[in-house]
Amino acid sequence: MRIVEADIAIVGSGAGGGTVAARLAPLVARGKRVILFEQGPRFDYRRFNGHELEMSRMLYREGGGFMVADGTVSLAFVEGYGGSTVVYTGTSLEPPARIIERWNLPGLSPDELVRRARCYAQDNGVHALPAAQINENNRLFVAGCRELGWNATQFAVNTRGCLGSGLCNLGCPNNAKQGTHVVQLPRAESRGVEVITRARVMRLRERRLEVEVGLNPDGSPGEWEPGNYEVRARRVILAGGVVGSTTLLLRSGFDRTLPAVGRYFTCQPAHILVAEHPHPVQNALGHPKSFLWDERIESDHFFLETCMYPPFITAKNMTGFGPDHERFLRRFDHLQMILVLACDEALPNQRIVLDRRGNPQVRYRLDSRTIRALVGGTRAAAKIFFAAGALRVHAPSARPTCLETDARDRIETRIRTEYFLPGTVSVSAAHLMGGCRMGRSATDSVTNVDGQVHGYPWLHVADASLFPTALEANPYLTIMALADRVADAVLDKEHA
Amino acid sequence: MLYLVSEYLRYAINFPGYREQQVPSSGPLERREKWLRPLLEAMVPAARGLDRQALERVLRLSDAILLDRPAAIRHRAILAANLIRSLVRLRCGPVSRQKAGCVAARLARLENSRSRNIRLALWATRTLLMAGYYGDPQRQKAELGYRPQLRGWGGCREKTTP
Ligand SMILES: Cc1cc2nc3c(=O)[nH]c(=O)nc-3n(C[C@H](O)[C@H](O)[C@H](O)COP(=O)(O)OP(=O)(O)OC[C@H]3O[C@@H](n4cnc5c(N)ncnc54)[C@H](O)[C@@H]3O)c2cc1C
Ligand code: SF4
Repeated sequence: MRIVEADIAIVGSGAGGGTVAARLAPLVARGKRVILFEQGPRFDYRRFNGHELEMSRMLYREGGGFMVADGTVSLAFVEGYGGSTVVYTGTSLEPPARIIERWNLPGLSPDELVRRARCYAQDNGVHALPAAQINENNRLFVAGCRELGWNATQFAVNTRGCLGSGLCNLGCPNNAKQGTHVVQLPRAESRGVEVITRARVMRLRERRLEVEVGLNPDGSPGEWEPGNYEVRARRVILAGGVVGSTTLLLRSGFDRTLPAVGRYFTCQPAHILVAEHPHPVQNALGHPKSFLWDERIESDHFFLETCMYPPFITAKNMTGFGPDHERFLRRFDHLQMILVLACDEALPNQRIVLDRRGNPQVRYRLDSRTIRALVGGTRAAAKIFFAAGALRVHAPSARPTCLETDARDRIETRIRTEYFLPGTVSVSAAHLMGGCRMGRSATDSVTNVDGQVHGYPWLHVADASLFPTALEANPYLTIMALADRVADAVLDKEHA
Repeated sequence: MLYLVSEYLRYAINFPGYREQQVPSSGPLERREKWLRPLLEAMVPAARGLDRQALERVLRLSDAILLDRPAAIRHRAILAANLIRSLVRLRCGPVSRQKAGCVAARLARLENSRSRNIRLALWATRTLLMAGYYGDPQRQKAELGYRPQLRGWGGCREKTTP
């Protein structure tokens, strides 16, 4: 076992880890050694060819098929330089004030988080796309909402030089999307932060990390020789994402003193819905997302966004099979798509545990509130589809799942909670949150409001696992804002 | 009978005592082709037109997805497909005598089964087969009119800019 000394060790390079690395980089000029460990490889964007099976295998944990323990929801996240920011769509929403207020954490105000988020928005090229770059799928969404008297809101995305290839979730082939792999990590490295990829932190002891370094996928060595290392660091910042950070704490036995580790997991489960139009719908071209509708988020716990997915992901996420299912796929270039996202409740028994081999297992069940939200969202989406002129709509919680235009006045009765069969209805999630939630005490939380783990002054968390509840919005800007706060707290301590 | 089936399911879906070395092989391609073809055709009716070579390509693509998954998941996926195959056989007879209508009806019933484990087994099998079918870039281009446009608007601006 080789021994390495460092001042600060960061685990993970996603939205949280990339932010912290960039913020702590100036410490290197003051003689401190800052090392970031990332278990995945560096990706070369020139290899992103948009082929969904190949890219899913290259980028996503378990090829995108990581399932919760009861098999009813698939969770999408990435292991690699930049973490899930390599595949996120770049929907850039500010921290929602009502949720931050509900968290009621001393010293954490919505205004402060929004201010921090805006700095990152500026840094990462966040802007609303001009009308000329809004594709037809997005325009149909707006038209459908308008027809219903609903107010679709345009949100900003984080691109520079976007060519509109619509492949954001398979890795941007034009390096236009401004994830941490494009903005924060290269900046941190240029200022001396050492980023060691293919380096999985296996366990954590008092100021010590056990790290296993492997080879790159093509067999070439990474920054460090393959082998086992013990890294001695005065301070450790976990930013391994919800599954990564929680697993590390559980594997290292922190749940013995912190019973909340792994608990209060949420993931904003989602349905991908499609509808067929009589004319071709341009959706494969143009940035996939620009509009949302969230007028019923507080009463019915769902919101809708525009989206685009390639054929297999669409086929998988639709429900069922056979002629009806196939007919939608055969008319792929006529499809309008909407994503329904449910705001799930943070509950102590929705949790990440370890299986007998020490691997993460997500014990998560779709509860009745979440199912109602998905069904409510499906009804709203069906109304938008028809209002936008669709001929038929695929609704997972209808029987049969295909609704023709004559069903447009009977949507409430055709789409029903009783028809939502977990295990048959496809549900996926990409907004993982919680597991190391912030709070006031060690009884029901893992860290304080600055991300410092209760009772361990040398250990911090700076990623989506900090969220006490679901954010009820796309989370990356809020994760960066929280990680920025954590970095400030660390810098204060280092200066002291 | 019901008890036996549900016990088998519990085993099939949540098999607790797996070890990496025990992961069963899903069998040589030719053998699987026989019993997977009726399932694929019921799920994706257009697959009826596939010749042997094309079917083999579908199955190879499905296999490739499984290769990345942890041994336990591969194990479960294979058990799930075998379970669905057995339940179809129970109703529709051996593969050589299976009628397309019978298989489709059987699968539709299984999809709404009261047992969540059966529904999950069916979902997993369908998803794997669809990966092999719809995930094929050649088919996406030829049959679905979809091709990733790496250069986006830049590739075909005159035709597509709104
Ligand atoms: C397909 C998709 C689309 C999305 N779209 C949006 C969007 O449009 N807008 C939005 O706001 N959000 C979006 N998200 C969500 C957003 O990307 C994530 O919430 C965010 O990236 C999470 O940040 P994180 O730092 O918590 O974890 P991640 O970004 O997932 O990074 C964690 C990193 O830590 C590494 N790691 C974990 N454990 C270890 C270990 N033990 N040793 C070493 N390294 C480790 C992992 O390999 C990973 O690279 C999307 C997500 C996905 C998957
Ligand atoms: S739409 Fe823009 S940001 Fe998304 S993959 Fe294409 S070029 Fe990249």
